[in-house]
Amino acid sequence: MERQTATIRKVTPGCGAEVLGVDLANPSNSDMETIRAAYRDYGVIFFRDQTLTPEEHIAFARRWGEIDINKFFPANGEYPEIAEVRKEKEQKVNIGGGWHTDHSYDAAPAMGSILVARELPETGGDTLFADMYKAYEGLSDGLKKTLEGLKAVHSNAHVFGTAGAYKSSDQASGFKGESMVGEAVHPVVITHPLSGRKALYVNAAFTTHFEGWTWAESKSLLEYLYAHAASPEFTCRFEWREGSVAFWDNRATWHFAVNDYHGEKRLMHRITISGVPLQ
Amino acid sequence: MSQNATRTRHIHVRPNERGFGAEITGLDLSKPLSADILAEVKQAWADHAVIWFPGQPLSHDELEAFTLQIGPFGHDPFIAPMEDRPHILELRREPDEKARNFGAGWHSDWSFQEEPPAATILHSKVVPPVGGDTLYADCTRAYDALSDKMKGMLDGLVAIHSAALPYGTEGIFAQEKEARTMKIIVSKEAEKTCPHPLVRTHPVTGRKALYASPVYTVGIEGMTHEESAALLGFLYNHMTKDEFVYRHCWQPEMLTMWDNRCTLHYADGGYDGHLRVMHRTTVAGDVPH
Repeated sequence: MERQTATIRKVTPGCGAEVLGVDLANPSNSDMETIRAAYRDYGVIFFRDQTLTPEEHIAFARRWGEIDINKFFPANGEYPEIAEVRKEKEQKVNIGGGWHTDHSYDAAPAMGSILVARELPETGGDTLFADMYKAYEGLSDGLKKTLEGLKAVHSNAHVFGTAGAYKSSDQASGFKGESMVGEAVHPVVITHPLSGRKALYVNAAFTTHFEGWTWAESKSLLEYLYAHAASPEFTCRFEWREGSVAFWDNRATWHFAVNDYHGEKRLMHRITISGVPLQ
Repeated sequence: MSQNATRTRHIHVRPNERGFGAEITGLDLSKPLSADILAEVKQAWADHAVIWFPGQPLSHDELEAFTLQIGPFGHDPFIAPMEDRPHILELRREPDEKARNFGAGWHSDWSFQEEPPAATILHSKVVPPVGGDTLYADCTRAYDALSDKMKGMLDGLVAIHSAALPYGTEGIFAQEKEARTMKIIVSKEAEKTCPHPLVRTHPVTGRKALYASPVYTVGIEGMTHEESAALLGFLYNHMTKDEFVYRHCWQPEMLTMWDNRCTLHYADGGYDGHLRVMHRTTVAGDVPH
């Protein structure tokens, strides 16, 4: 069979791109170049009609770097590299049901995650993404300048700790690693390690305050930034289908798992790739 | 503000126990003050920012003469002064008046001017039996209470001030339906803007204070309205916390002098059905820096 040429198609003007005509189980060198360019330029890329086995999922992820094994998520019993994003019929709480970027509480936050749909509800369970380059570029010059020197503290105790959100929910039994919670400090505006572009790097799930400011002082500016960054013109909404794969860059995007499919099961396989300290 | 009783030779200064402002007795404001007494009054004003002198009946001439001992008159726009008294505003609200009482929003007087008044002097003639308090916010302690990192961020910012919200041609007074005794002059002039540092250094005490208010500050230079609102909204809530606010209760024939460079104030209402009459002067100030 003749190979198609990989092409890139934007999803919305503000966020995301679809990469067409590639087989992630067996990408050519030129496909990989196209995928790398799309990943660098768009921050989140989508693939349709893929047939990745868990082994092929792992192999594709290894092309990008070390696999970062999640300390907190339920792991797939057979493949420790794969974290399960699972919601059973009877569960009410989903995983990732708020704007966030993965692992921002680590000193070297994860580069990105590759999420593969395994079992989907009839409808619903979409994922929203927001572009943090666009969010930064949408700020006034005055606020850009004000944010330039600021750093923010990111923590996960309130999410993954003993008294955290998941351990207090009907997802409690799958989550682990309560004693491994921690925090990290990152610049509020980062220069992206792949693109060299500036991106806003705070998120509502894990950022607790600006370094050196009290929580009360930080709150109104952070909340402004969260509302601004989630503006519809910086976002897209990905509707999962059988064979769909999303690959996002945690330093360039946020994501939000919509929890609108109660009574149905949804199972996704996530592999997360290690990143670098941010500047 | 330091709340230690000030050591004075001539006047008696009683600092407010709740952290802010002082009452001054032991002098007669209707006569020219000696150099020593004037120096003590100015020192108490620098120490406490809001000072009040109970039991001081004053004629208009005497109010003007006291004001000039503090400094030259300021320039008062947008409100018609008393006839033949270009430097005195009469803040008068009749018992049957329905218009919102004057000054009912946190502000620092005329902060939209290039050289806003250093002092405002308000003398009470008729005080209602209920309501009509004036609230003062201590912008020096409010600044001091912020974290060092946030102070560092604020220190470089410039706030834009304008009189448009109250006095502009589409402002609050322009749209007012109820009759008002005071003669307000709405004007295009009010829509001009003037930049001042968001944190200003007091020219006498050298202390830093937040300098912005919801009435006259329209934004932060270089930022959008929404971005400014996020930062300024936090600051307004912070500055007007109970711990920084003094509620001043008036008596007839009381003179109060406040420092617009380091305080905000708010005229409380609650006296419908009662007459309230006050006379106000301002003392010129310098360019905030």
